[in-house]
Amino acid sequence: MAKMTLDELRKLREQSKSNINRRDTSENDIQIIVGTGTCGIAAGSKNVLNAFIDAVEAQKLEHITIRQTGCMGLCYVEPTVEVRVPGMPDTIYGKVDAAVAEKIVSEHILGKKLVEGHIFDRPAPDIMKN
Amino acid sequence: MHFRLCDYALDLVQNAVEAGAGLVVLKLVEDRTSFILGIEDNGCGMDEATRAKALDPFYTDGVKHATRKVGLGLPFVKQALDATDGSFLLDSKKGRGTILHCCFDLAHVDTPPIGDVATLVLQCMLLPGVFELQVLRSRTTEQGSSQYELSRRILQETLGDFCRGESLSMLRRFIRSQEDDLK
Repeated sequence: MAKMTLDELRKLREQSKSNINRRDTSENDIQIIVGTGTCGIAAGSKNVLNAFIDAVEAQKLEHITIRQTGCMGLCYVEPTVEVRVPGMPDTIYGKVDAAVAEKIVSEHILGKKLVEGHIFDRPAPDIMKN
Repeated sequence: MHFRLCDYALDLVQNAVEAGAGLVVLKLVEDRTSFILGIEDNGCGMDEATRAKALDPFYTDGVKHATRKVGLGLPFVKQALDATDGSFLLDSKKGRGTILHCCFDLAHVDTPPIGDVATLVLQCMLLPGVFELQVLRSRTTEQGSSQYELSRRILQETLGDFCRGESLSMLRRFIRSQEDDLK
């Protein structure tokens, strides 16, 4: 890949604003939050982050925010990801890899259906207290 | 021990941001025999007693994670450096900030591989909070030296909220192009 300058990046940004025909996700507040505490890092959260960017890019979804956070208290099922879609329960997925990330985008975000086998909800209350 | 050197770096940059730093400087200097990871921040810093305890994996300030009893970022990197003949320097002043300097010996058989620097830089840029991150990256090989510098503030001015869909893709593409261009 040729080295991109800041001017080229600006032009690309402007071009994309006017040219790209984006898929309408009908909601503007979809959030994907990847856990990148020490546990998440060790378990491969960076591959998960890249997989989400790839999937969002492939589906041309603009109204999605991908963020990072620290440990969610579920170190035993890292990498963990919280997904917030309006009209659906906030969901924490665990043991997420690139394939699961793709499924979360296609099934949870686009299909409005939870991805079975990876739902871990929130940390148990005893963990939160201690 | 983490799988890649970049994994240590992300943990430590996160520490700097969470220390309330307005400015974080990340230096990634690579040559044929060593990889230097330098992180400087102007966050809350530590007094001498806290600085000494920061290397204990069972110490945490109890502020960042009220329910946690461990703090592994610094102990992990110190352990890896001790095991691979690297060097470690941690200088901190309370209220002024912290300087961390780690030099990994790439020739040591147990030193983990460097890893994906482009994704490391992307992840550091995406950390939550209002802060400036300056990345100074260089590599020296038989073909010569090359480097690039990035500023989180300038990239945000260019792309807007780069946590959002397409801006994020462009940011990743931009950072990868800088990294791919190194000799």
